Amino acid sequence: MTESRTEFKLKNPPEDGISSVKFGPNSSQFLLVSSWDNTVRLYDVITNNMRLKYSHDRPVLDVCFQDAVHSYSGGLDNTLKMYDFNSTTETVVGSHDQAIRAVEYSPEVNGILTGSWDATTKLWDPRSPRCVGTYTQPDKVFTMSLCGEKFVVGTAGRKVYVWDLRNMGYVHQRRESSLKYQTRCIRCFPNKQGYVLSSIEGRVAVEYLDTSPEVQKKKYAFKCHRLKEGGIEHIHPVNAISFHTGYNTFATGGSDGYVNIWDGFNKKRLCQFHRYSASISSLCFSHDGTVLAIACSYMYEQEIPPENVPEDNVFIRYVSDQETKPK
Amino acid sequence: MTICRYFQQGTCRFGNRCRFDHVYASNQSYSGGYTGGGDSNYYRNNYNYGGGNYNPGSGNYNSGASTYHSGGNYNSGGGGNSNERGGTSILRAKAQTNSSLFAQPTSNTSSYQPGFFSPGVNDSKPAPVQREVKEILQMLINEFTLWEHSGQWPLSCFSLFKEQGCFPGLIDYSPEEIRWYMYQSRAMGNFEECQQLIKGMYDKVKHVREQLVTPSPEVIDILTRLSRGEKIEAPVAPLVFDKPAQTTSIFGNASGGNAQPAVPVASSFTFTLPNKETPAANNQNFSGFGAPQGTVFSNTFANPIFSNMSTSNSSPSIFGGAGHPSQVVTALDLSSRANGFLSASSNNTIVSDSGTYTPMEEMTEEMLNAFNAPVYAMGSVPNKPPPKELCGLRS
Repeated sequence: MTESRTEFKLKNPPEDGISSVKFGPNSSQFLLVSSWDNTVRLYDVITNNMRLKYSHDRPVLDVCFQDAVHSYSGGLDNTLKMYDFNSTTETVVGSHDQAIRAVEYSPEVNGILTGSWDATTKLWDPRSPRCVGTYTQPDKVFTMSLCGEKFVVGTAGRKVYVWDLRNMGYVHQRRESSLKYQTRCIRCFPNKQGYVLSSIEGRVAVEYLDTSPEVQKKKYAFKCHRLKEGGIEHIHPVNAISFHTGYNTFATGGSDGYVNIWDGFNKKRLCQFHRYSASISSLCFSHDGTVLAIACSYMYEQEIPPENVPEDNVFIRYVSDQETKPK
Repeated sequence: MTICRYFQQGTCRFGNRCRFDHVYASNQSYSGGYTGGGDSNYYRNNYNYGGGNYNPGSGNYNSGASTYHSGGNYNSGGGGNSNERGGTSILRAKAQTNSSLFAQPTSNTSSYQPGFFSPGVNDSKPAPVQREVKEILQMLINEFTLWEHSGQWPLSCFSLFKEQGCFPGLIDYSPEEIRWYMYQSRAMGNFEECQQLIKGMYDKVKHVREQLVTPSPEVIDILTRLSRGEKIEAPVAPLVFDKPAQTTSIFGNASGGNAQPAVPVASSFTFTLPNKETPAANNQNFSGFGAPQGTVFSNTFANPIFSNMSTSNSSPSIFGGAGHPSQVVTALDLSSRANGFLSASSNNTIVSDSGTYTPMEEMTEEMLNAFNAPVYAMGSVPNKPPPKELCGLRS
C-alpha cells in the first residue's frame, strides 16, 4: 500500500495475528502491541521503531499501559505479566483459571482489571502486586471497558454487566446486549454516559448507562461493516471500537477491512478509510486523538482459511479533525 | 398540513425531517423495515452498501391498526425482505419511538411491551397464538437464512428479540477460542481432526437452527417461555480444548474438570489418550463429567450406547435427543455419538453395570428432583446417570 505522511506501517511487526494495540495514557508516541506470536512489543511511532519486546508462553490477547513505564499483558497462558520498561524486567503478577481475554488499567482505583474465559474478572493492585478481588461474571468474558469508576463487562450469552469499582460487592447493572448475536467489543464513551457495543453480525449499538426511561429511549443500533458482493450481503463482525477522547466520536473496525468513524450522538458516519488488506483486529486512538493505530490481521473467522493469509500489520494513521470531529 | 405522498408510498427521503405530514394511508402496510424515510436515515450520504436496500410496503402487516401491536414489536413475517429482517425493525422501533413510524395514533403506542404476546390489543382474530408463532417462525427463517448465506460467524448465541434471553442449543464461542483450538491442534499434529470437530460444531448449530424453525411443540414451548421473559439458561460453555468447565454448578461435582491437571492442555483433546476409546475420550473431555465418570463410561459404553444413539438421534427433539439445551452447549459433543450417549444416559437405558450409576452422594437436589419427577422438564434434564437407588419401576 502507498505510504504517506498521514499513514504508514510499523516496521518489525509481529509475526502472527495482532490481538490488541494500545497507546500510552499521556503520549501519542508509544504503542503497545500484543500478538498471537506470543510477544508484546513496544513501538515508538514517531521514529517508527520497535523499542522493546517480551514474551509469554502462549499467544497474548490483551495488553495495557499502567503508566509510561509499566505494561500489563495477559493471554492464553492464563498469566498476567507486568513489564517494567526502564529496568526491562518482567514479573508474573498472577493468573486466572483460563485465558485472560481483556486487561485494563483503572486510574480511579489504581488497579489492573483482567477479564478471563473462566467467567471471572480480577482486580490487581500494581503496588504489591497481587490480586485484591475476584468477581464472577455470568459467562466467559469477551470484552471489558472502563467508564470512570464503572466498568462494563461483555460476556458470552449476550450478557453485559456493569460494575462499580468503588463497591464491588454487587453488580451495579445486569443487562442483556441489545443486539441479537454474540458480543464482540464494548467501549465506553469518554463522557461516561454510556457505551458502544458491537457484535459479530455487523451491527453496533449505542447504549446509555442511566436506566431512566427518557435516557434509555435514546439508545439505538445500526448496521455497518457489511458488504454487498455479487448480490449477497456479507456480514462481518465488528472487532474493534475506539473512542476519540476529545470529540466522543468513535472508530469501528470490522473483518471487512474497513475502518469507519461515527458520531454517536448525531447518528452519522463521519468518515470511512480505504479498505485494508486484512480484517481490522484492533483500533486505538491516542490520548489526544491525533493518531489512530489500526491493527490488521486475519482473524480466522472464515471456515476455510484463505490461501494466502494476509500479513499482519499495524498502521499508524494521523487523523485530522475533518475525519473525527462532529459536524 | 399537507400529507406527504411519498411517505404514503413509502419512499420519503426526509424521514422525520420532512416538512409534510407523515400519515399512514388507510391501506398502507407497516413494513417495519428500514423505511427510507422512516427513521433518522443517518447514513444516507455515504451509505456503505448502497441506498437501495429498502423494499417499500413489503411488510404485509395484516390490515392496519387493529392488529398493530404496541411499540411495533415485530415485523409481520419477512415478506420478501431479504435484507431487512424482523430484527431490524425491533432495533429501530425500540430506539425511535417518536419517529414517523409511529406517527399514526394506534391503540397502544405508549410503551414498548416486550414479547410478542402483548396484551391489550384488540385482536379479534381467532387463535392469535398460532398466528404469531407462525410469524415468529417466519422471522426466524429469514434470520437464519441470512445468517447462513452471509458468512457470518456461526458459533454465536442468538436471541430473536433483544429483551429476551438467548435460544437454547446455540453454542457461543468467540473466534479467538476457535483460533486457539486450531493452533493447539496444529501443534499436536491433528489438525484434520480439529477441522472435523469445528465442522461438526458448525453442522450442529445448523441442525439446531433447522430444528428451531419447525413448529414442533418443543419449539413453541421455547418461544412461549422466551416471550414470557424467561431465560432458558444454558450453563457456561466450556472452552473447547481446556479442561471442562469446573465453574458451572449444574455438574454438581466439585471435582469439575478432568483429572489431568499436569497434562498440558493440548492433550485433552487429542482423541488419542491412552486406554480410552476415541468416542469415549470425546466424552471425557467435553462432556464435563468429572474424571471418574469419564473413565467409567469409557469402559462400559462402547457399543450399546452408540447403537442406541442412532435411533435417538432421529428423534425430533432439538437437542439431539437429550432434550436438554445445556447438553448441547456444555458437552461440546460434536460427534453425534456423544449426543446419543447423553440422551441414553438421561433416559435410563444404560446397561446395568454398577459403575455406570452415579453414587447417591453426588446427587444435587435439582437432579434428585428431576429424577423423581414423572417426566423430565425441559431445561432440567440431568446430565449424569441416576443413582441405582432411583432406577427401577415406579409403582
